[in-house]
Amino acid sequence: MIKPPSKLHITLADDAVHAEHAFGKWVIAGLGGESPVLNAQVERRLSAARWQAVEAAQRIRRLKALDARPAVISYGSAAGLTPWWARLAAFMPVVALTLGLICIDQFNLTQRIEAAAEVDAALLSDDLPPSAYADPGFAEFLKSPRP
Amino acid sequence: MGYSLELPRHTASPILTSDQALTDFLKGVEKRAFKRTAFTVRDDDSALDIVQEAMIRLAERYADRPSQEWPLLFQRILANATMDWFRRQKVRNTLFSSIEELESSDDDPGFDLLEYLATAGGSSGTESAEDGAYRSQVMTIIESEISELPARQREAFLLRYWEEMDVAETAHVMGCSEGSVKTHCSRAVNSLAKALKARGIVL
Repeated sequence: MIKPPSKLHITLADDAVHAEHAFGKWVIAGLGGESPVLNAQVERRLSAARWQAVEAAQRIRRLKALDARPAVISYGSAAGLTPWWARLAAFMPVVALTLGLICIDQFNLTQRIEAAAEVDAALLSDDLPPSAYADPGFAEFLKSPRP
Repeated sequence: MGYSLELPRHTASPILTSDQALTDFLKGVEKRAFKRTAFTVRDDDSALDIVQEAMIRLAERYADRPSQEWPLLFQRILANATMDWFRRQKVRNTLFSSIEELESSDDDPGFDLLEYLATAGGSSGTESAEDGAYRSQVMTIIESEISELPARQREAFLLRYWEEMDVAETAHVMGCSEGSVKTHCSRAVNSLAKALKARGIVL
């Protein structure tokens, strides 16, 4: 309710500031005081705006939390923060691949040497001397049908 | 020996508390903010847009600040949002009171506020069925007279008496000196008192 300031017993001796203040408060009471009455549509829109504002605060809080997380769970991307063993670990696949290729090459070489050695051993341990295979007469003998 | 059963205490999460505090704060200021803005821009839809923008700006930038700082921050943001609206409307000049407005007929030597208040009859007595209608009529007249005030006077007056800010806070929000705030308020009060008297409003 609008309460008039008529009982304030304002006299001319009182400070004009007090009179202004009393009048100001009376006018504000006339406007509906702290919580003026608004129509339902305006109240609905204000309520929606309030929810949007709270959601905006929540969104910003989530974004700030996301920004803070990498600094905690990883070592960051700055070179100065990466330990030496982490940088070394990045080269491990290349090293493993190179070692694998070397091993395969060595294995193939060993296989070839062993096969050649077998052939040589068979030739050398045979009764027939190896030079016999260079003799055209012996070759002819091998082609001829056996009795 | 008795046994005591201790139930787990459910303490509210700080995040929920903060959201609730923000909601409560906005709920407390939104209506006055809307009315004040509507007085300034003279359009309800635009006033709603401006208040919404101010609420979101406050929430995005200052929600993590102590809630005691929110009132002043919000008023400042609202003032800036209103200014931005006027800039967008390209009618910024109408917002500021010109020197003519400030030195308009407010200082009428023939009108004495003290006398007006002191001699006003006490209408606070019995409350009749007509009082409701009378109050509504008075409210309409007060609103119309407030909207007629020059913008700076109205802003100073409403911040001081509606938002209950002190002179320093009002000066901070309005971006002017404390002396200017006092001058604006005083002139607004005198203009309003004179206008209400002229319209036959009995205090």
